[in-house]
Amino acid sequence: MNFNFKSLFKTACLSVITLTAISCSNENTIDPVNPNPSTERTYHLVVGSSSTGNSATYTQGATATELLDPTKTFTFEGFGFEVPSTRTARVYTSNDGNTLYNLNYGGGDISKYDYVSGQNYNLDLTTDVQAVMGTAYPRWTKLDENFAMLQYVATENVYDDPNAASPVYLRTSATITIALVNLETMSIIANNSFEFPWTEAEASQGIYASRIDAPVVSNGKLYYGVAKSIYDPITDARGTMVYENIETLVVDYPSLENPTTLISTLAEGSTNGYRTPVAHKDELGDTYQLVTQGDVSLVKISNGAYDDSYGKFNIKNLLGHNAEANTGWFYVGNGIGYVPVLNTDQGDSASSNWDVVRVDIYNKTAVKMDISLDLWLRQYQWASVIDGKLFMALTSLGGEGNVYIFDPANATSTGFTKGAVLKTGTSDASYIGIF
Amino acid sequence: MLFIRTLFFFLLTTVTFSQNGDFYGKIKFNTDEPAIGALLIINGFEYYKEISTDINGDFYLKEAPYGTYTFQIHSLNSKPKTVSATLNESKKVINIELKFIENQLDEVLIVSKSRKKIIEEKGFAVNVISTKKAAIQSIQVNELLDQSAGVRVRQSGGLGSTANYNLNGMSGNSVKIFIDGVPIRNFGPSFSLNSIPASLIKRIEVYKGVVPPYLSDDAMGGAINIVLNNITKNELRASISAGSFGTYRADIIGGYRNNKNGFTARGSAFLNYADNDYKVWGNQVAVTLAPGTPDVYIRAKRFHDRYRSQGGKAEIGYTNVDWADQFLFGAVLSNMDKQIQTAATMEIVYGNRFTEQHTNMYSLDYKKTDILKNLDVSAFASFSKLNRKTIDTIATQYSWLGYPTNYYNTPDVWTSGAEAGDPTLQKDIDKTMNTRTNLTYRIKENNTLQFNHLLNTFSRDSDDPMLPAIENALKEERKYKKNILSLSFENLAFDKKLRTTAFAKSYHMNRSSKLRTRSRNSSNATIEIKENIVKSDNIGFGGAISYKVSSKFTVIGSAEKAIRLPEAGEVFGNVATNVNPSINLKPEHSNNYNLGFSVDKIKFKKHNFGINANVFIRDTDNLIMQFPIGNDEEFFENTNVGKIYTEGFDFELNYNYNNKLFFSGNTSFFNARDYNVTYDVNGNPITPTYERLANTPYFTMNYNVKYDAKNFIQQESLFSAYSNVLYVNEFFRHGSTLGGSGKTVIPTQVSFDAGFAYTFPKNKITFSFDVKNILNNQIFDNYALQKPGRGFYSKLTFTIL
Repeated sequence: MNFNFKSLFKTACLSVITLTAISCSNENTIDPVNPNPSTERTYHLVVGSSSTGNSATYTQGATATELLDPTKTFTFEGFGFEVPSTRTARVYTSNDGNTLYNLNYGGGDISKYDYVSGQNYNLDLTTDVQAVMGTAYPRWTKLDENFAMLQYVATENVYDDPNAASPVYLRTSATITIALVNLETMSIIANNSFEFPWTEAEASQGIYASRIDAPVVSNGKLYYGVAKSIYDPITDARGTMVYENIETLVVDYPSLENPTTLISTLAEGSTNGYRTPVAHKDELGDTYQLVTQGDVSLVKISNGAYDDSYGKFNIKNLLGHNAEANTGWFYVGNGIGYVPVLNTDQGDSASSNWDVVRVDIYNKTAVKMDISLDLWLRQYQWASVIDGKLFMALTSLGGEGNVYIFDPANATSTGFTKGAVLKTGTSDASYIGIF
Repeated sequence: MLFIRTLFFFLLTTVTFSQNGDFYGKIKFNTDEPAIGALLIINGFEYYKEISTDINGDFYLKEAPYGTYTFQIHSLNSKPKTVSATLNESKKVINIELKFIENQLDEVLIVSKSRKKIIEEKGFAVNVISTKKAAIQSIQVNELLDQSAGVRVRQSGGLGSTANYNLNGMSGNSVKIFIDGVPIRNFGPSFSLNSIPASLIKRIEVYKGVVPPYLSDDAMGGAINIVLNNITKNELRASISAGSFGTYRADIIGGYRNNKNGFTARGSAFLNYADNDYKVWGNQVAVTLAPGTPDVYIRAKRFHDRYRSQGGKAEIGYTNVDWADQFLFGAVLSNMDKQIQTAATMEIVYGNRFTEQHTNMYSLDYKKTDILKNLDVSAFASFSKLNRKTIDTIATQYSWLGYPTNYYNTPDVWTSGAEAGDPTLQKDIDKTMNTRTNLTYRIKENNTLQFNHLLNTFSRDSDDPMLPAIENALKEERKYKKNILSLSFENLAFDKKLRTTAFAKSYHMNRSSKLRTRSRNSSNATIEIKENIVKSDNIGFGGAISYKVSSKFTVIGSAEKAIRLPEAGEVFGNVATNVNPSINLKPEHSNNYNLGFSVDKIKFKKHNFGINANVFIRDTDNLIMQFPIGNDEEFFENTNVGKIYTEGFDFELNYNYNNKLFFSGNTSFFNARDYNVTYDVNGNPITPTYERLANTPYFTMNYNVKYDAKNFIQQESLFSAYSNVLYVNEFFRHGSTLGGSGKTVIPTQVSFDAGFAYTFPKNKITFSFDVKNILNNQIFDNYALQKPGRGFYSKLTFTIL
């Protein structure tokens, strides 16, 4: 028996020491490195742990000066605020960096926290949204500094005569529930529920809208990305969805009324992403939408319709291998953005075969950035634009990395610099953003 | 004992120089029958001896110094009697007559004590919990288990709530529960650790890590065996109790045996009722007072958590006849219903969802020792039909205020159409058959060979009238057949000081799933059935060893390569929840090791001590975990990737003073570390951080004090006062490494209970009064699921016959 009491004892001692150390650092909350913290906006480094089950999300504050500093090291080992959540946390921050918003997925509520310093955040308000959403599992998107949208899709199979022994399956109906949140008061100020505008052509095949996400506001309309699923009445199971088009749900904003859809065969796939922004409005007021399932490509929505003249910006072809971008993308300005892309020739989304690709949406060019890390970006959610440059938190799967500062002016694969050193603190965690 | 003996010897040698004499005589009953094997405790001046009578009731005590002695006589068929006599001649005769009473001492007590000893000396890491004394208290079986070393029972609420058992760090599917050696699945949830009262249980055996082969199941982390009270004499006992949170419980147990022909009938029944309307509060207990506005925190009373269960067990047949030690036909009928107050946490409140269940089980039991020379046989067969219903058809949303909310609709509704998902009236009809055969062959005196076979079949038919008829008809049907064979060999050597058991188990599983599909989507479609069959054969083995260094000190050790077979849901997946089949799943396996010692019967004057200690290792591999698959992650798959390594110890101290004041304390600690390895893009393993296993209590202590006072208030009465403190150290809900502020902890739990029991003269009636969670602490076993606060309970126990 190699039962080791010594190591047990050591562990116990170490934990005590660590705990003591942490409690000390709680008291010295003002970072001595930064001489004048009040004038600089705080950004938030966020990691997510465990890709399965109930994951936990941790966050800590950092200034741009710190993020840029290659001698500075950030880790979440024994440090960071655990964002309370039942299943998973869905966080956003205010533009001034002083407030953290969270949706408690599975708990059916949204909260806001005041950032104090370092790993210290104070709960300000929590609001239950289960009554308005009709579920404890809504998703949400921060639209701008003042408002956020909550969204949910409930589905039901429709038969000609549900009580017959062998009824004919007609279609699956999708009921959309959306609600507008005032982030200042954390209250619901508008809501609507309606059936997703379906087409006979798709409904007859068992295809239905199963998710809507990542809305953007443009000209008094909300544009929602859509994911679809297929029901197989023969086996009573969900089939593998093969897309033949792309679709966007449009409602009036802020009334949330008049649901319509935009459908196009410019590309094939879903447009909702995961938890990352999928559509961005550029300086000219056009919306560029990423196709998040199927070949990685971008399409343009202008004047309330898919723009056929823009066509499909086929990023996959430019990369020269099969690729998907099923999380989302980040827009810096002047037509330049960065897309986490999965090389599907090398593995599925659980593998660490991800790249960051710089795209020029006006000139339709794409460059794979030369980052020598084992990237796993399936859950990567947010990047911040600071002084015209894009800051991303990139680490190897289960290992170390850096803050990557992408310069949109540099179109080469080495158009970035590395800032602060990032450590996750455990092999089962990854950075999901700089908020 | 050694100490006393030495002392005695010393005294003896010093007094041999004075005058000595012998006592002899006969002890008989007033029925003129000799008292065979009666125990005599002889006390004199600096003199103590225990002897017993022979087959004729005669005794003989040699060479006692002259003086006055008291003789205390204990017999199974009489009350203890004390007489005094003075030795003043070389041979003194004393004849004593005892008043004959049928079965004066409770047989159960004797059996359980000796069984406890026998089980513990086999070398397995086992706790044997005798329920005899606890049964007079208002105590749940789960609480009794929880007080035992190395056992943590995590409950989601009050009486009737779901319980998860953790044995030395292993939990969930790897811990198997048995009732009289029969896997508990055959009994259904209405006849379970939640519903069976302590008084119907003789003892509970908790095997940690290494499970003896007669408990045949794929118990990778250990087993809990509930041994029911099987009365084989004329007896009738009953109890009723009532307490806080609308709790009422009653039970009765009785038996009849015709001493001439061995005809035996016995039965027991129980009734449980609890409103569980205790108060909850904290971060998860919030209400909204106006539509879509921030929360207000309240102290809320649970309003939809009623639990009711009732059941009975009856057996009829013959016992202790020449053709069978036991031949009994039995039936268990039970049912329960339970309201469901919350979702997985207290954040989501329900007001309508509930479940119902009932069990019909029939069994045949045969036992015979020496059916052939040196061959014992025991066989058991049962058939059960279990009906389970889940009722959730109302979409109304409730809040902690106890009534529906009306903010956006009248009332607000769940879009899914019911509280926990789609509307359901799901009815599962499970049919299980279980047979167990045990053959024991004694080769000479010190070697025993045991063969054991278990067959368990299971089939489930589901029906949900709330589903469109066709979806209901397309539901999958599942069956399994489990055959487990085991062979063990036990040897006694070196004067029976060394006991060695070696065993091998082979597991054969045959699972089938009937997947139904429609021929087409039309009104005249037919349903086609495709059957999938998955078989698996596995072998496990292990052993236990114990060595009696002295009569007081025993060293024990055991080891097993234990396995858990994948469940049907893990292999076949689940269409409704998008879990794909994984038909190549391997069983989980664990190498379990225990090493310990026990020190017994240490006496110092009137102080008695005993110590049990055990260290253990659990090296668990191939744990089944669920992962999302594909680029859209809409589907999940089970794979054998988990790895956990656990080291820990249990320590238990027992003390009593003069058999009046009893103290027992135990401490359990284990260090379970996550050894899951992730791989980089080149397939190289990334060194894990070996985090402490999340959401698992790892440090517990339990202290129990009891004081017995005889002849308190009334002559021949017994008064007991007792108290129990349970401590569970806080643990993180998520990993231990990441984060430093706001980490979710399941907070340290200190549960302090106390009470007293008063047994009136003649041993017929006992009254007890218990206060649980006296400090009214907010107690959690699981994240955001609060357990009951302070509660008062009283109980009356009657011995009618």
